[in-house]
Amino acid sequence: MPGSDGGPGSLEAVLATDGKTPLREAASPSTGRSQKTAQRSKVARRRAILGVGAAVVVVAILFFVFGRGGNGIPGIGHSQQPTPDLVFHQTGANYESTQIDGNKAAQLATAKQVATSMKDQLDQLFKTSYLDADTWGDTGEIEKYFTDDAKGHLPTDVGVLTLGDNASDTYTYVQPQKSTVSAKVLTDGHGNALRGVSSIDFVAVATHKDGTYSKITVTGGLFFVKDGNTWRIEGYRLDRTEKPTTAPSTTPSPTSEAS
Amino acid sequence: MIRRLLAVSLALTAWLAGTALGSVGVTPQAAGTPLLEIGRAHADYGPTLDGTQPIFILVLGSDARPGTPMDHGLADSIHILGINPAAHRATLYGIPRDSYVPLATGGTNKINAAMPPGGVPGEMQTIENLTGIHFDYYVLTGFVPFARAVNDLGGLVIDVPYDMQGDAGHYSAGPQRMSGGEALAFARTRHYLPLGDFNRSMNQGYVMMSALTQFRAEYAKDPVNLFTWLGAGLRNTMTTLPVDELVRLGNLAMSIPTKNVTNLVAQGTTGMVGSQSVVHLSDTNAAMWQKLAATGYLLPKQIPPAFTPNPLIGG
Repeated sequence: MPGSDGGPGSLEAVLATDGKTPLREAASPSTGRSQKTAQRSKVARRRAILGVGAAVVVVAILFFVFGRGGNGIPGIGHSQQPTPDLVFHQTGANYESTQIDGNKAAQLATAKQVATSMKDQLDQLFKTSYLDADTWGDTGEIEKYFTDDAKGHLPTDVGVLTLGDNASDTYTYVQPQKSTVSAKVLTDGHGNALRGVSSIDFVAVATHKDGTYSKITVTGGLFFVKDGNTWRIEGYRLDRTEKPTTAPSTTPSPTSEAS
Repeated sequence: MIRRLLAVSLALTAWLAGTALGSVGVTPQAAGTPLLEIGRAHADYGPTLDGTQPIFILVLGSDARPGTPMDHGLADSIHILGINPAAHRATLYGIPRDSYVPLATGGTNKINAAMPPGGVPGEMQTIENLTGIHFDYYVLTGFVPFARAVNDLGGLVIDVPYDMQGDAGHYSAGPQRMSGGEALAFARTRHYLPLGDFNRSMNQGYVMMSALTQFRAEYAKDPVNLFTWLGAGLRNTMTTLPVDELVRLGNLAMSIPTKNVTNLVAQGTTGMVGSQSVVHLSDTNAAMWQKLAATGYLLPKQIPPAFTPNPLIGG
């Protein structure tokens, strides 16, 4: 390949430091001023072109590797705004007893405790799946919230459990609005939790690439079962709706804050 | 070489610029219709039962009065519930309480008499010996618990199959919401029905089918209702069904429309043994039980009219 032998015009030579410029090495004491000027100009042009070319290639490679499929370089493809936090507003926590004469105080205490655990899981789940542009549509990122059996169904329901499989092709940012959750816990008479269900009303406004907005709501129930020390989702019945809307208020909602 | 590099650089620059311009967000002040409107989507998953292996649940109603343990009263309502998860079908096969059969607890007597001495195991063994069907679970309730369960659900919309005079009043045909007491009275109605206990057993099957219809509607409307039904059921029954299995059954029920459930009653003739009125079960039941044991359900075309007694059609 021409120029690849390290001689004048080679990449190494062109990109060399001032102490070893091709100009000095190539210069002859017997050449005239005009020849020197022409040679200097030619090498400088080559250096500039190759420098720009190399930079473009590097940037293109970086863009291709990181800029596609939802994991964009900040400022390219996604909003530069930080991922907002989501805090579901707990509107109720109650129990459904499986025994007639149970300890009501113990069952209610359990219901509140389990409701908080489930809510914490949902805060993180929806932040990951709907708000964080780096993990939109990535069911692998939310597997840990589900039981082994339920994990297998995540790809099927990616369009409801997350913003969507190719969400970054459509959206640039998702801002949560006031979202609520209420919980019911199935208990035995002693206050041991057997199952839990969270009834959610998740609301967010999505900014589209074309500058329009849509209001996304996810409603329904998520069923939790205790798995070791963690409550995991074993089932769900959810509906997602999306409708055009106007720009969201710049004031953060009471239940959402920028991280 | 230089020209080639220049050309490649320009092409890459053009591609990069085009791609970037196409993906960088447009000024968000522009309002209008979004590029993509998802509209509406539904996601639904729950642990359920699957496979072609049938599941059999013995559903019993005890006549125990206050002071008598529920599982030591007479088993006055007896239904075999067969379910085939893969086929999304189920069958309710009632057995008249006066059926005169050998008891697992000893001797031959009315089938309901096995429970007072033998509890649910004695009653279940008697029915297994009679039918050849092995039960995976049982569910037992009584008068008061049944009425309380219905009240806990806010009433039950029962589809009364035909106009009938009940022991506690007249019932018009069609769906109607009943309180716990009303539903119990309907399920116990016998005296004004031409085929007595055969018709009553059919009606009890209709009550269970109505419950399935209502459960499916309420669960679909609000998933939290699954717990309402589980709680009402568990508080008012004795059962070997664990919560895990009940959750799976609840989800399975969502895939079994009521029209896929058949309701029939064992065929037999009434007679007397000594001073007591009894039912002599027909030999034709054996073939039906054999089919049921094999698949967990019977199709309507497999059920002769005599097994679905209905006063309006003289069944």
